[in-house]
Amino acid sequence: MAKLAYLVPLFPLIGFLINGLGRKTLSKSLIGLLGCGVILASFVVSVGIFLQVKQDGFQPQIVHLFDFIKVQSFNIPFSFQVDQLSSLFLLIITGVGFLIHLYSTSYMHNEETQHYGRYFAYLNLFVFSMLLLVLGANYVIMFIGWEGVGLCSYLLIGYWFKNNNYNYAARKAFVMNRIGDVGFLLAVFWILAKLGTVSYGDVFAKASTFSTFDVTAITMLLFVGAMGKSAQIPLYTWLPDAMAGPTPVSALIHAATMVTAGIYMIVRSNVLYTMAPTTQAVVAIVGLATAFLAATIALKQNDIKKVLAYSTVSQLGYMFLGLGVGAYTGAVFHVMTHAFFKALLFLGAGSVIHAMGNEQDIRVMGGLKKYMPITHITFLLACLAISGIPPFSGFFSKDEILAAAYEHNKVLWLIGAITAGLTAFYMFRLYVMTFLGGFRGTHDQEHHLHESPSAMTIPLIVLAILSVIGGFVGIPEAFAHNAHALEHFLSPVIVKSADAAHGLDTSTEYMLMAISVALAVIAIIYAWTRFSKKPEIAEAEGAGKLLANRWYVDELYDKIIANPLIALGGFLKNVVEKSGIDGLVNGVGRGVNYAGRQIRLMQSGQVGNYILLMVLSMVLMIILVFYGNNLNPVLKYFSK
Amino acid sequence: MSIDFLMLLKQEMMLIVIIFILMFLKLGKDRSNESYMTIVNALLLANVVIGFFGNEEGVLFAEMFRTNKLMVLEKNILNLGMLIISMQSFVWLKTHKHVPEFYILLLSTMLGMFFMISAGNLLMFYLGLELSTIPLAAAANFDLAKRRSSEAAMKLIFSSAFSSSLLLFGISLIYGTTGTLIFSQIPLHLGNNPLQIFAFILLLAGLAFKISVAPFHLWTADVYEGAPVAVTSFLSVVSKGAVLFVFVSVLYTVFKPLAGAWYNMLFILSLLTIIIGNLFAIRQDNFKRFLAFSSIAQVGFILVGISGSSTFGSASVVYFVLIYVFSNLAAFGVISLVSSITGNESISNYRGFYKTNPVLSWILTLALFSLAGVPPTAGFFGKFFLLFAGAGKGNYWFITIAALNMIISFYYYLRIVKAIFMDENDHPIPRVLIPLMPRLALYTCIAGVLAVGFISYIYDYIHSLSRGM
Amino acid sequence: MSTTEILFWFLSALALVSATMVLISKNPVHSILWLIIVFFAISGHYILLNAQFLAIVNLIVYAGAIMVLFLFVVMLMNLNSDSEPQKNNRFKIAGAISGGCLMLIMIDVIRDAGEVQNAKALVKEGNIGLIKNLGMVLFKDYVIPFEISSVLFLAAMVGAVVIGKRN
Repeated sequence: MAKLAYLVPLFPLIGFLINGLGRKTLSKSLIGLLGCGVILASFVVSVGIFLQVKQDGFQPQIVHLFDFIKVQSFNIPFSFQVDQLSSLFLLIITGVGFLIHLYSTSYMHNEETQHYGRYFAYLNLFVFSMLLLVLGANYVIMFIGWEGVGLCSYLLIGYWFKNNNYNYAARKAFVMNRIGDVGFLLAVFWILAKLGTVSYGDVFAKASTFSTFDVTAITMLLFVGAMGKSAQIPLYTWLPDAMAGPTPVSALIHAATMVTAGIYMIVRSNVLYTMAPTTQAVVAIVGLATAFLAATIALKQNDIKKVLAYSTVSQLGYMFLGLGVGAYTGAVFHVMTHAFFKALLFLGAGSVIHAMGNEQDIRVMGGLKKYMPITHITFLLACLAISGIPPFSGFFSKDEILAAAYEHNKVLWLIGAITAGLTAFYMFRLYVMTFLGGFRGTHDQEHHLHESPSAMTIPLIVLAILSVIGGFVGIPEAFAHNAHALEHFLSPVIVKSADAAHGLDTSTEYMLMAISVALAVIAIIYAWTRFSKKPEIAEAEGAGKLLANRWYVDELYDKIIANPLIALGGFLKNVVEKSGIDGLVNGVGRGVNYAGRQIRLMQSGQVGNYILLMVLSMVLMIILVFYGNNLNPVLKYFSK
Repeated sequence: MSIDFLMLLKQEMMLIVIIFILMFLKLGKDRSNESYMTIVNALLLANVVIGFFGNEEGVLFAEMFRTNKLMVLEKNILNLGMLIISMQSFVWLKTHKHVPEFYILLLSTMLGMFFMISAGNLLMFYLGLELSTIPLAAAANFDLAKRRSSEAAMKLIFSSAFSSSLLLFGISLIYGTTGTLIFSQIPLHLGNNPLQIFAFILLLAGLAFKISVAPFHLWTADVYEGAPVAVTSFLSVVSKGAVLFVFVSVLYTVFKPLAGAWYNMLFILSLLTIIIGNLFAIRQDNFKRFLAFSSIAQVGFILVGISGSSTFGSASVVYFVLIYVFSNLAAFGVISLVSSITGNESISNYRGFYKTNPVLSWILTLALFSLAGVPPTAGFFGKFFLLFAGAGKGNYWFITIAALNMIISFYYYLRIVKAIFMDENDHPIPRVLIPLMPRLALYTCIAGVLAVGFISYIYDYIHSLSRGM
Repeated sequence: MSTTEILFWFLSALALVSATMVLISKNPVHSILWLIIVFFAISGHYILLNAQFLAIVNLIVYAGAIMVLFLFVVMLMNLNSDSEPQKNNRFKIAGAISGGCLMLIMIDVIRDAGEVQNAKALVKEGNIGLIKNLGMVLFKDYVIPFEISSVLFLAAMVGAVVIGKRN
């Protein structure tokens, strides 16, 4: 089954081609059917692959498709690597992807057919690129997928292209991604220069030949790439703006899959990261700072999607914290559970927006629970999961990361725990202001309120179930011995660092768990009581204003980066381009024209002149050969 | 006379047979021009097809005639060129009074070229060269009503007579210093004797005239402009290609001991040729003259390739000539069609050509792109391999200057494309109906331009054949 | 100095002087007559080199047929010195200089060519120039050039007829 790994990206690619080329001719139902069907097919194949990989003693398999770059001894093949890590990600991408595709068929129903087709084509292309990213057997194929998802993110954020603000948001996302990509590329070039290969197997086998400086530099550069793709400080401001795209897009790309590409990449390179403790420290600190900063901003946001966006940034920070302290399994675990509940939260938000007639401000919502029961229940379950309440999935994954952080450095753990509390607080603020209390919107909106059709609610239900039970694949030591199925599963891929103590004794673990759960519960109760009584409708002030304006980070970037660059561009255009380059090029043209005019006089039209010129040139040639050549005996004759 | 004998002389035999058939047809009853042309084209097609089968290597007549697979391929490329030219001149020949004579003259020229390519003896080589020049001079006069045509023929005869005499002088000096005329034995006697180098320069001058290397190119523009288009395309493509083939093989096999002497010369000649060709082409308005100068620049490029190592040089030249056949004949085909039907020959009249003749515009554009060297047309790959071969000697300044000149050539090729597509014209050339044969010829050329670029097997095959050099 | 040497120097001088007179003469008929003398001188050289057949054929074909044809054309077209366009003086000087350079180089080169200096013309051997030997060689070793030259004549004839025929 692993040999058929190429089918997994192939199906979405076919979907992209057919939907893209036929978007003006196919019907909406056919487009939707095709768009979802290919992802379902990929999911089925992924399940098959997963079952094969799950068996004991499975060795990573490389499925070679064709020679991509082959110049003498320098070989970069287009191959896929099927192992535990990639098969797990395949399941997440295709599974959650399928549910979101299904949801989209109903959510995007009001679009014109050709735009509907365009949407599904882009979505399929995105899944294709993401699959390439996780399946690639070397850094270059990963980079192809990396770029592809960046492109699709741009295309989908700017989907409603008639609105210029959305276009700016798409452009911002793309540009910030690209800044990160420079780091990624530099890392790949460095690896190539030092080792001459980029295939995972070869690189990790030869990793011990790196000097510390090399490996630290490479891992830092890779992390820069991850910063751009997974929205860490300082390259995170694109993600909240990316909410301009349709909500299922936010769910798929900016919650469940694309943003996790950075984490995938670091987990895949865990051999390198374990060799570079400096980078790991940087990763952990940046991740934690991002988590904390984003959580604080989320406290004061009023757009339902923006809250979720900052929440995503914050959770991604958590995952990087986990990576930084060496809890690779924990980070992957959190990726998985986050995919479930964040996708669910976004889809639920989409359901709400749909019901509210495209209104996104939570200050005019409220009391929706009686109009939208399914959405309400699933949303609540997701909030509980993200807050880390046992036995929901979020609890297990978050706790694993916090436990590893505690082992590493107590300060990291402390800030992480506080952030967890903040998470619970703002999530439930969101929940309460949206679903509880009385309705604060207009009369028209109230009439319009309804539960979403089943194409939208079924994915909600499925994801809710997964959010609830998903945690049980990673039961920590404290509860049951050797029951951490996920860790067991991923162990061949993740190298154990030499000093991984992995032995927090059970009592410490219980204590940590208790503290985090307690924090979460307190936060929930506080939020519930405060916001159900008096929803926060007024404008923020003081410290709240700082948070509501997102710490003015965007404005800061504008001032110190964007404006100087624009000024430089203007200078280059007006001075360097006009006088310098154009002058040079036109000058060459004028010169050649002049020479042509002068030399034309040679062609007189008289044969006699032609022959004369021929003889003259022959004489010159002879002189050149004889008297211009040192080895010539005639010359020796003259020098006698 | 065994069957081997016939097989070795297969292509020459075919040509002689066709000449005889034509003569007998002419002596027989009166036929219309169309039937002559159909018969001849069918025979030429058979010639090309037969050329692909039963290729053998061998030596005949005490080394007067030698052949190997590469030579057979070269001859077949020339056959193909002849066939395409013949198909393209359909319109012009339809109203001409001397159709069979035209073919007899051109076929005799081809025969001369074949013997020249297969020569194993300097005398045979010279005779082949003469046979490939004189009938062509007569053919250049074939626009009997126009004075320009006669002028072109006169200039051609004078210039070629002069260069032939230089060549003959060189040959006689070589015979004098080495004592033999046979190609395989001459290198054994060649040393760094100044008389031999002098003889070689004379030989080079004679050959350089035929391939229009500067500064021996001065006859090219006038002759190309005056002669009928079919003869111009023949001169530009087939004649040049044949002499290039001979040049390459003679240079690498016979004059190998003198390699140090000719590298510098080739280098300077090629740069001079490219630059002069480019400078002149920029200013031209007559399409035929323009193509003459552009072909001079192309030859300069070929010299770049020749100056490199032998296997690569030979392979890249043969490959480039094949591509050059297709692209140049496509351009000439369009021009000949327009010129015979409407009489327009100047580039400024081609403005707005696209509005009335879209298909022809595209064909001309593709041909010009291939001549300029725009990927993915075959012309790009041809030039690439030439530069690649030339770079083998490590003289990177040379290659850089050649490549920079490509940019200048882009200018004048694309100027025409711009005129065709983007310029306005109150009286554009009227719509030209393309009869079947020229249409087939044009499509073949375009298919060749595109296919030869993509099918890498062709270059590999040619390369494998030139290994022996 | 033996007879052959005297003859050689005399014939060479005659040939050079006559050739120069061909170029310098103003009257075209004079040029042609000087050219005939050149051919006679060259035939003399051939006889010195024991190529009798070649000498006779040279006279018959060149001096006989071709020069007569030239004379016919000149006289029929009434070409006189006044109808000839004057060439630019600059070109004449340039031509003279390049010709002179070429001559100097050739002398230089030949002076240095060892084997050419040492080779002697096979004057003593009588058989080489005999028609019988020539015929054998022509039809055995050089049969292909011989046949090809016949094709050359045919093609030239066809071309000439096409160009010259009045409709």
